[in-house]
Amino acid sequence: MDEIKIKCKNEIRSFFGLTLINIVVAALIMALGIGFGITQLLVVINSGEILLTPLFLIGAGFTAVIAGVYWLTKTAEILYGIDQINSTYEQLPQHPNQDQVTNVFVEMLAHYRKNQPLIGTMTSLGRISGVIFIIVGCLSLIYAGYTLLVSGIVIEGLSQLAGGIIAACVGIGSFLIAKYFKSYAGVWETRLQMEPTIQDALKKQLEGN
Amino acid sequence: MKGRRTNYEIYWEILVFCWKPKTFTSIINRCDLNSKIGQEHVHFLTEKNYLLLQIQDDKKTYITTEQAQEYITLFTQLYRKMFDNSPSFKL
Repeated sequence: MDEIKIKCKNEIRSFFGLTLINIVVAALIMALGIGFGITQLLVVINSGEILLTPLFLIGAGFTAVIAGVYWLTKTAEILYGIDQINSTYEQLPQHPNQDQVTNVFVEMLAHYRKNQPLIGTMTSLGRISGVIFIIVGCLSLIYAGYTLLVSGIVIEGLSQLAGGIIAACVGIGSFLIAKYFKSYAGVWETRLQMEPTIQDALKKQLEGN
Repeated sequence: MKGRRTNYEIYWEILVFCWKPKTFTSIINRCDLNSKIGQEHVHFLTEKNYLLLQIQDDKKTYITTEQAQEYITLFTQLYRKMFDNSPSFKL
């Protein structure tokens, strides 16, 4: 029973950690989206020309803001559920009985069932924002390289360089989150595949009476 | 918030909760059910002789019967197996 309790603990803590990281990345994506969007909007306004790259960056920036807000609120919902499961787990005695541990399993299963479509969306969102931020990061790095080559070491070039590195890092972070969400979903899919057999056995037991 | 539970899980929760006599109100509060659904589940379990209605001094309570033990044991075994057989998730 203690072994299964440790397994439970690891899963709850890992998913809690993953959700927290997800919130940080969502907030960063939102902040970077606002940053890129407004900066590029100012570039277009100041130059008075409609250039393709700044327009793409404005679009990407504001899409990231919308995605970030959605991401943040939905992750908070998942976090709330995980926090409740964690509270149930924390209330377990040192040596819990079978019913107490099974109660945690039931809560975890119910939580996953409820959030299954959302976790799928998180995986997709992570990949999409990963691609967008890596492209944005690369474009900023190219701009930074160009500015630094033409104008020498100037603040504008250095800030573009920093922005590009941060965007690329957030992009990689998004990919990693998508990877972990997929891994988490994979574990639960394996469990849910067992459900029809389990429900069949329980149905037979109930019908037997 | 209890997530999305199956009827079998709700039956199990009610039965485990009612090892000691419990009122209908405490059952629906503990299992996060509305009155109508709670009544359906309690009625189903009572019909199966898994729950026994006790009336003492006008106070109605439900208690899990020995007959329910088989269902509870099977449920616990199957759910344990579900977590035993699957890979654990670690960040």
